[in-house]
Amino acid sequence: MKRLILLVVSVVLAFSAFGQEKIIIRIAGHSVDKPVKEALIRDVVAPKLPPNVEVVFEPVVDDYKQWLLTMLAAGTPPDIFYVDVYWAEEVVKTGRVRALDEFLAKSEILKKEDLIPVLVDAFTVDGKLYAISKDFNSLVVFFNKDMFDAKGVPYPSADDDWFTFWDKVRRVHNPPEWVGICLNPDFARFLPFAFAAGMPFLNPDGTAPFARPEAIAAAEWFSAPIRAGFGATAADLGVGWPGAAFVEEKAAVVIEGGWLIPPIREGAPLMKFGTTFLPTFGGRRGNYLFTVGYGMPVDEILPSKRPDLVWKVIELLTSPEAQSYILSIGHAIPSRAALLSHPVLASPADPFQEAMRTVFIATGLPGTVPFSFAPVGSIYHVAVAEALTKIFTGELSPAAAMQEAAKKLNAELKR
Amino acid sequence: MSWLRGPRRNELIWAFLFLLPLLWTLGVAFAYAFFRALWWSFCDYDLFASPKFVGLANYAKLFADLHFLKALFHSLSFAVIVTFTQTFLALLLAIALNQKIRGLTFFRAAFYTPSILSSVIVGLIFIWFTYRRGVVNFLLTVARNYYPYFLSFLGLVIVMQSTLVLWGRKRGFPVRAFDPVYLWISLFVGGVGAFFLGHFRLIQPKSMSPVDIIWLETAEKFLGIPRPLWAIMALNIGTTVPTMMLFFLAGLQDVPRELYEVAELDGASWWAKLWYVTIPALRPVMFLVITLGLIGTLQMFDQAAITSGVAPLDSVITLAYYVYWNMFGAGGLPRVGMAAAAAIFLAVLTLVVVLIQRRVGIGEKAW
Amino acid sequence: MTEQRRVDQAWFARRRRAKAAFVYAFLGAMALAVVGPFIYAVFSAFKVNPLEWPPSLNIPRLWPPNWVSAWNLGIQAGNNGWLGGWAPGRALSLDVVFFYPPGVEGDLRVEILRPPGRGTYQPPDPRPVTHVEIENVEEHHGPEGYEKTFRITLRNLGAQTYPVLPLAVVGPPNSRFLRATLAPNSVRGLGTTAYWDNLVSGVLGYIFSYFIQAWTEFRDRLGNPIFPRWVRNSFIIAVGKVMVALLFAPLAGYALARLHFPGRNLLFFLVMFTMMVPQQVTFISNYVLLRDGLFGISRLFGRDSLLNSYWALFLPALVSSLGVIMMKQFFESIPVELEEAARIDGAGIFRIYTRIILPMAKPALAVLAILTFQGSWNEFFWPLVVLRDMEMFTLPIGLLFFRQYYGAAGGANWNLILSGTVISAIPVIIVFVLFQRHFVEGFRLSGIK
Repeated sequence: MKRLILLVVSVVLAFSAFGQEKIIIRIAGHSVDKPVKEALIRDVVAPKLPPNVEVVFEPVVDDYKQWLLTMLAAGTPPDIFYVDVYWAEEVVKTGRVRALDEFLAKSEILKKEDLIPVLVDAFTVDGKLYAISKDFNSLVVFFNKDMFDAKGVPYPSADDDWFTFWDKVRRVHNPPEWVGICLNPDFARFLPFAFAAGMPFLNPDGTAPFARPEAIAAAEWFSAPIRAGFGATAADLGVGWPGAAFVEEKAAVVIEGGWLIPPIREGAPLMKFGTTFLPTFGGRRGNYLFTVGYGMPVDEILPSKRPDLVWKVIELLTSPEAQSYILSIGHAIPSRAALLSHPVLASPADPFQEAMRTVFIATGLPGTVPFSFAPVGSIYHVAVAEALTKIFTGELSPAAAMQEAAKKLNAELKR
Repeated sequence: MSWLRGPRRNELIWAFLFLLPLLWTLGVAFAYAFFRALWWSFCDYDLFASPKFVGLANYAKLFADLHFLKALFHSLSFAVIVTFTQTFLALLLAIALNQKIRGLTFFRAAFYTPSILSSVIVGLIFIWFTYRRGVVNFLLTVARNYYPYFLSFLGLVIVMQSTLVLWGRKRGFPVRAFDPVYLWISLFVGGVGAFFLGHFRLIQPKSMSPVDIIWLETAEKFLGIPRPLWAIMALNIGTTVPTMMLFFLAGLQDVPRELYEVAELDGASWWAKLWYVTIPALRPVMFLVITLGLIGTLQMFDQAAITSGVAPLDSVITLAYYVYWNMFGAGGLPRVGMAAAAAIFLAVLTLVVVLIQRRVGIGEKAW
Repeated sequence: MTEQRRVDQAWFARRRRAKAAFVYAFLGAMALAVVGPFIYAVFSAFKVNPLEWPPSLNIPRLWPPNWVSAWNLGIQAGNNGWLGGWAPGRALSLDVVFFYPPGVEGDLRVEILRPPGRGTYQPPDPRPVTHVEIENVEEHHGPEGYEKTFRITLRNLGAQTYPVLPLAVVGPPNSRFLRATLAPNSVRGLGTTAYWDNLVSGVLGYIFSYFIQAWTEFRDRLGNPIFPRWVRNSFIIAVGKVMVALLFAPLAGYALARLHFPGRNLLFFLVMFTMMVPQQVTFISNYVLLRDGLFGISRLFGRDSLLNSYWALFLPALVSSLGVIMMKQFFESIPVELEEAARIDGAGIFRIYTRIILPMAKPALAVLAILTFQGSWNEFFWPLVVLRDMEMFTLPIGLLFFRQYYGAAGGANWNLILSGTVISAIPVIIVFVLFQRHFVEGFRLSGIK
């Protein structure tokens, strides 16, 4: 009899172990994020989950957006995926991304008010929220204090307008040792200034706005360093991007985002540098908001079949603890408003924390728009990029190039 | 079935057993795969839903696809230019260097280096070399900056060589224009002279802005062919010519001496010897080399895939890469029908090219 | 006239030698042009920035005085000149020389930095508790200013051994760093700040720092480095393929060469034909075959799909056409009389094969083994198609990923890419150097159809 009871008990126990099947939640993200994500999962997320749940980060090596669209179409997406504001609308339009409002309403840890408003707007399509922003970035001015001191030029500051700013850059320009600014013909750097000058995204009648006088003025201003010689492109300086020129002390000023912080930390940790907001035009300032969020597929194609569990993981990934963790390792600026009072951002102790604070505040300033070109799409910035390249090489004057860009975009829009 | 009994049957069974792996490979990995690809080329298939028969629609779509047409143009021009350039360069070099060479093992080891390394390794080093501020542009910059040295060197050599040749001829020696002994002397004098001219500042290296040719990250074309493709052609030719030259060299040294001696008795010049003895002797070898070269270059994939991250896709796409791109790269689901159609097209094209080469090519006489 | 003819013999001989000299010179130049880039790539794997302009051969990690310094520092730090490591209680000294223009005063500032993290990830911050002493050891007065030599002594006051000691030495504004016992990684701050990645790396750690980094830095979620996995994958598959080839190719070759069966010529023709058909035609079906688990067989073993596994790299093709043709040609060169004699003695086919044929085939088998190893190690297309999981990559695919990750415009770390390249080239180079003859034999055979 005893043996029978023992047998039954052991069988029941065995079955209960079976009953606790392992649930794997897959997050797919950019391969460069692998170390951070895995550290985050290991240290912050996994401890708060039941032991039979495993969270796995799967890096995507190829073009992320294409990969995601393929997976969504095939019905085999990961449980959680990155959503970049740049292509958020395109992905949402497949109809296979889950709206998160109901989870947000029910959540105890994560509330809409917790998130920074402009980030919520960035991922809202047709009134519904489709991704929770995990972090964000915007553009600020980085400047090398040593170089400014050496030339006796006052540092760029939040009070600078377009003209005082270029004046300072001109004065700090010191060939052959360093150039005033390293600037690429990059539409992502140019367009905020164009918007600040008053250029709308599209003309009221839906045509391209590039031939407007404000746009041309912005193009002339933006290309001045290259045309007048107190700036250089990254290629001219022999580096891959302006950030490298800044780290290698080939340029005194660059316009970049928070992503420049880790390379500086790696290449020149004791560099004396400062950050400030982009210069204004007529009191107006423009900026781009770059952000990536976590999204989920609709329930029908959710691989783990546990939407509540997947939402919990998203909550944990954007929890104050997780975001504090990310902030302390200087990775990117997290999305919770409350973090503004985090010591790193409230009283920055070194240039890096100061830079993060500048980026954080810059995002919230009026004039910041999400980095998205919906509904026109990439043809918008392709036209601008071509125009900028031609201006920078001297092939066309700013006015001519912008008019050509307007013509190109109008031709495309008609299709 | 009497023929199946006895030792005959035994042999058949053993043959079957021995051939089993090969039969599996040929059957499954080749024949089955080939016919499935052929079937899919007539279907609309995305690897998830079942294939839908669409007849020749895929092939029609191929010729309407700009990417395919570009890939076709690239593959054809790549094949023709690379194959013929490398074959004739290797041939010329082999003829020029045709003599007993000692230490051939050492040279062979050096020349085979790119062949034994992975195409990824060669490709990565190639990308690194052809960066805008890379080694290739650096060497070009140095060459450009030092052109006064080069010109004076050349001038001195010409002057010295002409002097020596005329002097030798006056003394009655049968000196040829490029007499090797005198040439060495002239080169030495030229080199030393140029060096001293520079030393005493009579000539100086110019310092001009660096050569800034973008080899890979551009879509610009030269003679209708994108520059990145030209760069890859140069890479292929450069890594193949040395080993091919050795191959021809071995072939040349197999040519019986008597043929040359007979020609010389008939008073043939070096050109006549080349045309009537050397080249005909090498015909079959050349034919083989050209045929294999065409097949290999038509199917070029690796270099396109490796540089596709750096150069624009439309500048390096080849037929083989087009097939891969339709399966895994184009975004959205795999376009199996298009990929299969393009692959079949590539196979047929290869066959056609080989047949044409047999018909028209340099080698008909040998067959 | 007679005099000239006598001179003629020697005269012609000189011409011939001179011409030969040109031939050798040209061959040498060609060899340099072909091998030069690889040698330069190997050297550049030791550079801090292989993308520097203008490219130079001034590489600190290959400069012997630095090796001596790294050795000495390693000994000071923990009695380990080879691998370094800063043990508790140990002190090490570094001499640095700064240039002070007239009017510039001030002391050096020494800072121990966070251990370098890659890109966005910073490891936690266990900086050693240190006692730092800076002594102004000598001064040279020059016409333009002072050259001051300082000796910096650092003592580990903690209780553990630190593998890494990243250091920054900052001079006062307008001073300039000149040199130090161990060359710094970079000098920034307009010349005032010198950075060292790791003072206690020991000689090997110093010279091969980028190789070690390429080997260890990129890790999977369990913390295991991925590059060694790639090496392991490549090895397992290459060795496996060699064994499979040595087993199956001679069988087929012998059958085609010496056994009689209907359709023998057709089969041979088919084998040759396969070499002309591009991989692009057959890979689609083979990919789907693997995805579906090879006709569902794999489901018996609990796997839905064979993609992303070692199996994918062995199946579905088991023998290479080239190998079969090579073996066939070799077997045909063995005199038939040997086999006939054995048959008369009553030996069966299998006996003949294993006792007579195979032992004689050793040279051909050697060539086959080497060619298969090299082909498998360098294989690019098929692994690119079937391997998606980073942990399953073989070296070529892994290197391609390295370039995307480390070569992007944002964070160019080409020294890591080049180090990875060198590491993956080593096995093939070793095999090549040892067995060069066989390689060439194989290349020649592959050209003959």
